[in-house]
Amino acid sequence: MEQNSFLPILIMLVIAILFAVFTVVFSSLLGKKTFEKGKLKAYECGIEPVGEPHVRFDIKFYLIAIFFLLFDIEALFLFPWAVVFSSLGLYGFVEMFLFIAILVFGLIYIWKKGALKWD
Amino acid sequence: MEALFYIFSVIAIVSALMVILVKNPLTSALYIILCFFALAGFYILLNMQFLAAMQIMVYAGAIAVIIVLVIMLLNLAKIKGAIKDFHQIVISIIAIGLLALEVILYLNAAGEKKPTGIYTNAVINKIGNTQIIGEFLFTKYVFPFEVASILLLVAVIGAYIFAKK
Amino acid sequence: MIFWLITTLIKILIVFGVLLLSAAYLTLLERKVAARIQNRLGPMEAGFHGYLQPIADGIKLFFKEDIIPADANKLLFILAPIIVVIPVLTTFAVIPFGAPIKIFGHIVPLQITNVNIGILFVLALSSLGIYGVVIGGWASNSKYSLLGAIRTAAQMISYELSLVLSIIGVIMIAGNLSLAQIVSSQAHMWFIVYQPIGFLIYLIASTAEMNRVPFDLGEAEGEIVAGFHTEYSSMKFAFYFIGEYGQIVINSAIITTLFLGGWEGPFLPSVLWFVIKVFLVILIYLWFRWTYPRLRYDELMDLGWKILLPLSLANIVVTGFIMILLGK
Repeated sequence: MEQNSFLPILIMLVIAILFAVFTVVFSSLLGKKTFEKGKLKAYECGIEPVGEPHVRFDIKFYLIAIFFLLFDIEALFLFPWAVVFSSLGLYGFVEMFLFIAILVFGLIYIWKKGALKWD
Repeated sequence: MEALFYIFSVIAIVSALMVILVKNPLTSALYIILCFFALAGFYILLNMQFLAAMQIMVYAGAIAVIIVLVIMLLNLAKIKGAIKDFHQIVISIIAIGLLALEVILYLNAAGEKKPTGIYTNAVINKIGNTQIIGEFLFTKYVFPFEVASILLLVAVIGAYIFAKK
Repeated sequence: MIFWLITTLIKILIVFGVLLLSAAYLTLLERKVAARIQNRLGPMEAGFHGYLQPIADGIKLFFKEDIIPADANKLLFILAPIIVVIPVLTTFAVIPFGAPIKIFGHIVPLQITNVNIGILFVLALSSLGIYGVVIGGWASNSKYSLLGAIRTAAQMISYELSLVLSIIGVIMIAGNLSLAQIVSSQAHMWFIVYQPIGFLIYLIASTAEMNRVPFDLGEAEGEIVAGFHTEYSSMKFAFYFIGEYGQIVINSAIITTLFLGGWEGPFLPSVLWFVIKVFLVILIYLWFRWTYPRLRYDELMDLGWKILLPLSLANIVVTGFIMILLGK
């Protein structure tokens, strides 16, 4: 059965989790401990931290994330298509050409509007 | 396999609960990712490997990224108090009602014997899960597929216009 | 069943050990390559020509004091480096590293497991790499960490698109998502011959995914100290490095599998072929790092969205067109 082929992945995942957690826990137990207030402050080139660490970011980062999601879904549609491409032939090629063309139009739109411009 | 189903169920339910119970929004985002993983586990148990991969790549790898980035960009360090917005309460009650209805309908239909198509597990394993999805998506359901691209295009343009405002 | 379980467990432990050891020794290789490129010798003290350096580094980091900043979100701060290494350590489960061998009359494939969505599994896990960076940077509660995390997040998602799209051409030719099938369909000709552009895009996009020079804006030491891992110390700091160097090994193994014929090759044993090819791809990654200067942020985004993304889409269309013309 196909499900069984995923069993080794599950085993590997469990081993990886155990390894990571044990290493972190043991290393922090074994490492030496000193208590000093200054050391626990956020690094800021040796001076006292100034102001709030959380600043507001440009909305561009958010836009990039949305564009990523949409184009990522497009890319994932291509996987089942690529697998059956050779049996679909020309018909499949035209289908996908249309699909990509519509999304390339979207890419050109945001490009021309300057949504991809960073300065 | 039975045991795995219950393990995934527990993870899915507990993590879904933790999403709404923890205070820190970023921790809650991590729980939702864990929940997505448990759901991917269900898909694998149901012999739908392609959907499992999509579940992780789209939900855990893309949608949850947006959630995390929004939390970071807007600096939502702590959620202050419960939501008091009347509209949201009404909408959530409607959603819960619909969900309850679906569950009741499903439980009623669970006893009935369903007809089985030609695509049994053995056939699917022989041809391949992704291959079957590809064949159907690009022949019988090609129209919805092309419509999906227009939907994505609208979303791209819409996202840009909203961000500009 | 029992035989299968035992061989699988043995394979898992071997892969695990080799992966961790090679990630550790890559730090030495990187320093040696950097030294040669800059006409120096590199580490020479620990052991013969510095060959014990990674072990010394490992022991040192393990026993270092573990500092958690007072303002940090403790749970997420501890969790972030763990999230970094888990996908890296799990990805190798689906990569075939040799031809099947015969043990006691059973055929044992030299691959931990051959799942029918192999390449999607690899991509799914690599798409999770962003969380360790973002959560680590956010939980540190430090300006440099947060800046580095946001920069890196936008960079990683931008290049992931081209990374995913560059693989489509290979799948069109192989007609399968299983990595073992992709290797066996390259028995006559490596896919790099049919997909040179796909290969180049994967190479560049994966370098950006790993935040290595010239794409290391998230940890640009001249501007934001060390970016998302500024506040990390001890083994948690080491985990970010295991993550980075483990990813170099994995990406090299994927390039070998997808474009360079995997373990296929004449005369020598298949595992050796696999190791040689992976090693050569690793050298390309190291060579990149010590040759190119860092990009500016707008250049970085332009390269991802305006060059690699259209190029990878064009690559798919051209590949499809040629396949139709040849009637395959």
